[in-house]
Amino acid sequence: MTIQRIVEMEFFKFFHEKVYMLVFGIIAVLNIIFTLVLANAQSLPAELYGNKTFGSFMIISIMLLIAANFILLYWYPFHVLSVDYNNDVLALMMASGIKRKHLFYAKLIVTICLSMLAAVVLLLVPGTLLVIELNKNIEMLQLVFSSFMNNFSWYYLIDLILAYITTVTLMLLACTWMRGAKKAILVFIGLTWGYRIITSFALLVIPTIDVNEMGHYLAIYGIQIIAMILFGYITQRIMAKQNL
Amino acid sequence: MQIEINNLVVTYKNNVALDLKNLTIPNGGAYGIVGHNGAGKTTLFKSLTNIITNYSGEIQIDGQNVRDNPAILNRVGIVLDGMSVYMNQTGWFNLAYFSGLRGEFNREQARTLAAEIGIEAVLNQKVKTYSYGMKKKLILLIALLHQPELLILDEPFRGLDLDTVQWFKTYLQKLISEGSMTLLISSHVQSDIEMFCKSVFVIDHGQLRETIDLATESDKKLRVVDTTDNVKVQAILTEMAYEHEVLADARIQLSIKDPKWREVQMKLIDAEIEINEIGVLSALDNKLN
Repeated sequence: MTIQRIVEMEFFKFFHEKVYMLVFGIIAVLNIIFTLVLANAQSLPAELYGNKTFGSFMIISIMLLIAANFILLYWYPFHVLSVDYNNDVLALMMASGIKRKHLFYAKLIVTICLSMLAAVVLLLVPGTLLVIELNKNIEMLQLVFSSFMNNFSWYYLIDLILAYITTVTLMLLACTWMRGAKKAILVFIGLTWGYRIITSFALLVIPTIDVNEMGHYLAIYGIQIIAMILFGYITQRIMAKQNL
Repeated sequence: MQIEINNLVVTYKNNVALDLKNLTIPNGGAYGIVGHNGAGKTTLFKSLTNIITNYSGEIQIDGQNVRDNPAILNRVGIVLDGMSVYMNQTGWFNLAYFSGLRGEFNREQARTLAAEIGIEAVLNQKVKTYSYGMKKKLILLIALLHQPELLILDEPFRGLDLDTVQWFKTYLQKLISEGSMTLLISSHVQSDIEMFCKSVFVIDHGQLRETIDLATESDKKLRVVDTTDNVKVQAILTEMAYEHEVLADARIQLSIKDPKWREVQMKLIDAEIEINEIGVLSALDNKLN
């Protein structure tokens, strides 16, 4: 059984999860509504725009919505990684001829893709609306764009991508280790904490960081790649020894 | 499919659950795996299908090392007692998903088989609404759907209704008689084992204790005899050098195929010993007790 086949079936599985689809749909619609309201706040009737109760309601609602987005985007990868353990179906999956190593890679790919897709579903339309709104004010858009371009670097983008993959590998390690139990989130937080401490320490002692920006980022990439390989290896060892 | 096991050792927290030196299960036909609870039957099945991979030794199916080349399991179906599926999804979803992992999903074939097993009507419902028997039928359906060449069944009839058991037994008999499939079955109901199997492997404390050829054993026509004076019967049999065995409950086990059996009966009449009961003790009972 190829990794591609497992990935296909994983997508088949997660696109059939009606509850999650519904939750993502509702939050996405709420995101759009609140973005529209905020973008057109000045066009609201005066009795609403200047109303304190309405203002408080909006602030609380937006905070709750941001929290909901955050929780959903954070929780969803854990769900993707632990659903097989929680349903106790790994025995049947393995007996179908899946190689554990292949399942590991398939899970990694699917989790990254679905998390990104979830972020797009939740944030693409509000983000676009925001750009359109800023576009009305050319100076503001130029300010934001130039600020973004000044701070932007390919090094930073690669760093972000590697950091994200390392994070998902850590999530996979925590979920595999805890066999999908909810405490995997706590284990993940603990592992992340430990990883951050070691990374910070390593960056302090590696001399290349003082050389230039490139040296600094190369050191970070190196640490992240080593961490990814190490976490992946540990996860695969745990998987190989697990009695399902 | 032929199974070859070499020096298979499975341990749980330093306890040896299974220790099989060499075991070959030939291609075709039905084979029973029997033993008391905790003997290692399920562990063996799990090892055969990569549900357990943390073992030493080697398992080969049709010459392929199962742990290194699990693709061979595409041709294997398994039903274990504690197996589960996605509870929040429908029966159809589970069929499509697990069949999809093995290759293509044939919906019409699934519908036909589901109708025969008797779960077609509930396939649109979520599995969490199923009874134990229904869930087991679904797992059975998943196992049968890709027409396995090796079918591994652990207590397959437990929890199923009578109609399904009857259908399943007939279905298995048909598959075995076609000679296209190897069946490995464990059951605490020995008549089930005797119905299908030509050989039985007795596992005790994780080790292969004995291999029983049921065809040969049943030829002996073993019987258990209970009389008004079993001690005296035992003396008569010993005197006649008639092969027999005294069971724990003092009954006597012997073969009625022996040419001297008629002579024994005459001697019992002469000694005014009445036979209370002549029961059938299966070859398997005999080996297990």
